[in-house]
Amino acid sequence: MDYRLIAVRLWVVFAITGLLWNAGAVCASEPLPESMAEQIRSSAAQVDTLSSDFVQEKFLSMFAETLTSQGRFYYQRPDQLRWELTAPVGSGFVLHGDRGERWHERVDGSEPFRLEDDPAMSLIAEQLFAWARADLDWLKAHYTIDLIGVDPICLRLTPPEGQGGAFLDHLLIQFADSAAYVTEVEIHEHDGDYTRILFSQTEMNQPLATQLFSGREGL
Amino acid sequence: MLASLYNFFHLRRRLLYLLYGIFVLISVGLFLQVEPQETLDAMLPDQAGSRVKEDFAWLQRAPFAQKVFIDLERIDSADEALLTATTKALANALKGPHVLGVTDGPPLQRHGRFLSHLQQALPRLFTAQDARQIELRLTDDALLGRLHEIRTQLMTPEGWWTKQTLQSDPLQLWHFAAGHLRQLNPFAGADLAQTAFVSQDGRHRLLMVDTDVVIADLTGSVALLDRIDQAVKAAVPLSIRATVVSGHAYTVANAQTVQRDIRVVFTVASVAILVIFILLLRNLRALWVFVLPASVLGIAAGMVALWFPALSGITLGFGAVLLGITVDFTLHVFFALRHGGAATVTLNRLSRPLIGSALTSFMAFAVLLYSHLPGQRQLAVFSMTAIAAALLLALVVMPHLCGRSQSVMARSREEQPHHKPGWTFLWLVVVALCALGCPQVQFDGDLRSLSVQSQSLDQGEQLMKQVWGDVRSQTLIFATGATVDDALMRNSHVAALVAEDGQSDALVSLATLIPADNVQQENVNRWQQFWTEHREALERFLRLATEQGFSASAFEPFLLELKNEPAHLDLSFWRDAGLGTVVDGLLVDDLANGKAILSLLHHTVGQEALQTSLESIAGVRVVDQGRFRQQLSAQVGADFSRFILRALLVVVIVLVVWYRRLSDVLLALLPVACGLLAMFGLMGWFGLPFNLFNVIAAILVVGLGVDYGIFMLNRCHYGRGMHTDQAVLVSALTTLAGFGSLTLARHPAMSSIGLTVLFGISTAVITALLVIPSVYVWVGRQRRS
Repeated sequence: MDYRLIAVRLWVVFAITGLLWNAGAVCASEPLPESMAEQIRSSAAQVDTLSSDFVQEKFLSMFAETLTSQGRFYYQRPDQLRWELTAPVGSGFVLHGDRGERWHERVDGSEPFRLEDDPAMSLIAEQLFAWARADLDWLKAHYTIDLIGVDPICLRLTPPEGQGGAFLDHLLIQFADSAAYVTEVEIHEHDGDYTRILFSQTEMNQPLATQLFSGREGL
Repeated sequence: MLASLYNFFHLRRRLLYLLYGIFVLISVGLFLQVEPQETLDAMLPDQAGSRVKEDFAWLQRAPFAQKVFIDLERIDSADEALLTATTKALANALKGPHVLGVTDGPPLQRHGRFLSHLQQALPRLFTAQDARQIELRLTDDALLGRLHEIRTQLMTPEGWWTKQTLQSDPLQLWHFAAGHLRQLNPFAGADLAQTAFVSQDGRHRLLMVDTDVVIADLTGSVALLDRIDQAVKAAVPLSIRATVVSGHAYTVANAQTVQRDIRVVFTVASVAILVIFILLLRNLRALWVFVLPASVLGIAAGMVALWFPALSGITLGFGAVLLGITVDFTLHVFFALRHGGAATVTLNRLSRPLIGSALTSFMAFAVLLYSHLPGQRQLAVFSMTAIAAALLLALVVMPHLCGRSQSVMARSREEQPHHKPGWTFLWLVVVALCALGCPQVQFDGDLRSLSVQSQSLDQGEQLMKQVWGDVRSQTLIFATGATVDDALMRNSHVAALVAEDGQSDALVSLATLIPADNVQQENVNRWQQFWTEHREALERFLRLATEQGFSASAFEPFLLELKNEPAHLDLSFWRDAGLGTVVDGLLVDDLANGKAILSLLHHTVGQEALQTSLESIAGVRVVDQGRFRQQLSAQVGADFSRFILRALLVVVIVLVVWYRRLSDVLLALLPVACGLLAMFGLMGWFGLPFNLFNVIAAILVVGLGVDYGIFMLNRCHYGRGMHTDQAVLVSALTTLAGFGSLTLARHPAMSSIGLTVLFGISTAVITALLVIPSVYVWVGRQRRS
């Protein structure tokens, strides 16, 4: 037996164990402290409007590559929202209360819908409003919230068993330094696929034209 | 005997009043006990060989009979998006009390379990036409285009929701199964490419409201229409026009018209009868003239209830109207005894015409016992009982209630027949001119024409027919069987026969979703053969997908789906898919023995041969609403015509037996003959059809006309002190006051009765008062000379 070889192997095992231990320490999550929750609440309460560019990256097992797209996002308290992809495909929707319109570049005009009649859009709208409002009370009511990062605040949201639609496994949300709005979202699906949305150029409480939320031609 | 009876009660009037009081109590008690049924069953022929009654029972199962339809039409500047949004908004606003559900299109949900069921169903629905259509999707361009769509769709938020569907059905084959489903759309005028009820010109949308309010329920109908009205006001902008069409609107319109009519008619009739009372009766005791006949109503209704399982409300209504005939009896007793000489003598003289008059009416109604309509048989029992009881009261009770006039002059007045040949001739010429219109009278047996028609209701019906097709007049085809599977098998046979006739597009059938087992297997074979032949196209699709950046495993669920054994299509499969409302709406599972599957066939020209072929399939019942109305109209019309002819014949026979002299018989019949000729003639001149309601007027004219004839003839024979002219005049005037005021009604059934009674009775009474005495004098002179 080569003791040097044994020593090297032991060293490798300890090193790997140590690395894993450290990694566990980094990823460890804990319930969201009330002080931090209050910080998010009070910061988010000051948000009346938001506008932001975003980059969306889809990591799907259906594709050998990452699907990347860009778009623009607008929000006005309490219930108006515009989500629009600008490249590589033009499509989007606006929401005002429980009504909305969606469009796609290959079709003229837009299609009105009501959230009540459209379970898919209803679930999507629920998610987008939750991120946009940073509505912690609503999030707490619908997810188990774990704190996984402090600076900036990063939360893991897990829907209760059997909820979250057919696809949603958990969400990762990272807040801006001010904790007033979200800068990054990851939507993880049951099958391992996930989507990352990175928000940039975010402007808070800037006046937004009302026609932004009235339909496709708002911009 | 009448004199003895009179003398007996003359000394024991309290006993008489006590007995009459008991009679009234029994009558009222019986009247309160009976529960008339407000259905049309009593008016449906039930003779052997007639299918009207059975068809009516099947028609009750028509799926759209109880529904409310709301057409939304964009006008002016309204665009399609606003119309779509308004339809959704109105559907939402309608939810609430009385509304079980609102449907705005065929049940083609775009997500969830439904799509996967459609995909599973396709192999068993797969036709050669589907194969040709799918081939078009397998070209390189089409496949590349589809892959691009999938890619971009996955980038949108909706991609989270649709990813699994895109993996298992990348070519959207579910569209083809959905195409089969669209054939379940009952609206011939709808654009079948749409997932909502949209008209072919895109200007109209349709909402179909399910309600728990039955059409006959007036209170519920008012509440329902009020709710719909409020929802329309709240949700529909001015640039969109909403039109509501339903049977409930007719119920409310009829009820509102009847309520208005009753106010007008009651006021006019009350004033007219008050004037008659003041001018011609002038005594409170005359009220008994009307009270005594009315008190037999309960007895007559009770007798019907004794003989028949259920008393029809229609019978009760018509019967109450026909009680007017019996007012004659009490009127004559009132005038004769009040103003006549010795009561017993007068009573004896009066008894002959009274009994003769009652006998003719009694026998005429006895003919109705042989009617094919249960309601008419009930009417016969009702009227015969009422006539017998009213005669008894008129002869036994009335003489003690009418009192004696103080005027000696009145009592001793000599009545000589008036002879006015000039006026008589002129009058007969007028009647003859009227009679020239008789050939133009049409019989209208359509019950719908007796319903209130307003411009808005008419326009609504026309709009529905023009835009959406004649949904409520579709032919119903019931395929029956001992079990659901048997019925489904027979239903497939029906669909096959309709397809052979090239009318599949006109058929709404479950066979679209559940073909016969052998057809399902043929379709599966075709499906498998198709994919075997197009294996290369599949491989090409996967290669193109890889080139477009898709992973090798991206469409594994699709390939797996193609290999799977297709699910068997039956009712439970489609219920599980979320189509329970559709499949159960076409399933009849409350038959006494077995089940039935209902199919709907849009009416097209030359469909009669197809209907005959369908009926030749054992266990298949075809119910055509137009044919049902024609048959009902023909059978009821024939029954009523037969009744009037037979009643007239019976009346003649009774009069022949009674008088045994031709001249007397003819004289007694003169008012009836002139009354009917003038009535039918004027109806012909004015273009009024003979319908189910004014048949009652004809019966009234026969009954009262014969009475007038008999009494006037009696007056001519034994004129002294009977005051017959006055009695006949008052009888006619009260009838005209009651029925004549109906001419002011807006409800077609009521105004129809009013007009015909006005024509018939006024002619009969003028003939009785003017013509009979003149002809009697003329005949006497002829005999003497």
